[in-house]
Amino acid sequence: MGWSKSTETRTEIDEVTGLEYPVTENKYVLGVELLGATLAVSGGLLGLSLAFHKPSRPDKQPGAGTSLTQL
Amino acid sequence: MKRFHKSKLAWALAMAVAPGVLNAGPIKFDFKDPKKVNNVVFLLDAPLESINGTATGVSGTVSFDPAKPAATTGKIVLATSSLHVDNPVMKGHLLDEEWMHASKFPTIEFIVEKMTRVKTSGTTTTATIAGKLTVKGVTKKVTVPVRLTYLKGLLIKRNRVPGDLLVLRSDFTIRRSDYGINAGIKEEKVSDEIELKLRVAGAAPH
Repeated sequence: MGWSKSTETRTEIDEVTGLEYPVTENKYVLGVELLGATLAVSGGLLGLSLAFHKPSRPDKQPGAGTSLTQL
Repeated sequence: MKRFHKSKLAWALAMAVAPGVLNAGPIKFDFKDPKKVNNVVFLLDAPLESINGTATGVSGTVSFDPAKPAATTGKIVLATSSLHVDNPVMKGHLLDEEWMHASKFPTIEFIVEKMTRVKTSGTTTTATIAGKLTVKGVTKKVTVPVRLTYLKGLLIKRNRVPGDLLVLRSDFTIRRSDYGINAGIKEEKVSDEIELKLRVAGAAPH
């Protein structure tokens, strides 16, 4: 996987001369730098969510308020 | 009467041979190619990054004599602005002042001065060209291998006009440091060595 591309180049062969020549088409191809940026943003968001994470109180936990003696 | 017939026969023979005699000698091939088949491929293989691109803005003329291929001379010109890589950011850098400075140095030129080690087999001639290569305003003497293929009468198949084609193929390597292209800078990503593959065909309409 390389850098992002705004064109894609393929090779064709001229029938008369036998020369290989490039044919360029406008086509966006996602590159490794965008993948990296996406991962960085995801990591940042994960970090932020952990930093501002509010630990849940024991009384709000499921089953809270039921002591062992009541069972 | 017999003398009259002889002179008539000689005249007819002369007329038959004349086109061949008139066509003898060097043929001028024009390498301008609106179809953009003529191209140069460039490859840079650095430790951290490999760059490959193409250029199709080819023009120039070559004088080629099928009977004396060693006497070939000419000039191939490449428009710097036609250098292309698929990554738009990289292409911007390639053409800007720091690298090729396309606005100040609009052409890359290769002048064919002399051919040595000429070997011809059928329509194909292989040789070594001694010439001058100008990149970014710096001219250096170069010696490069070349393969020429003379395609007599085949222009009609390509351009629908009668004439000949001359196909020129050459692979060689230059150093960007020799031509003042950011010498010694970013060599981990942009190699000093640039592999060039020249694939061009010239047309000589009759």
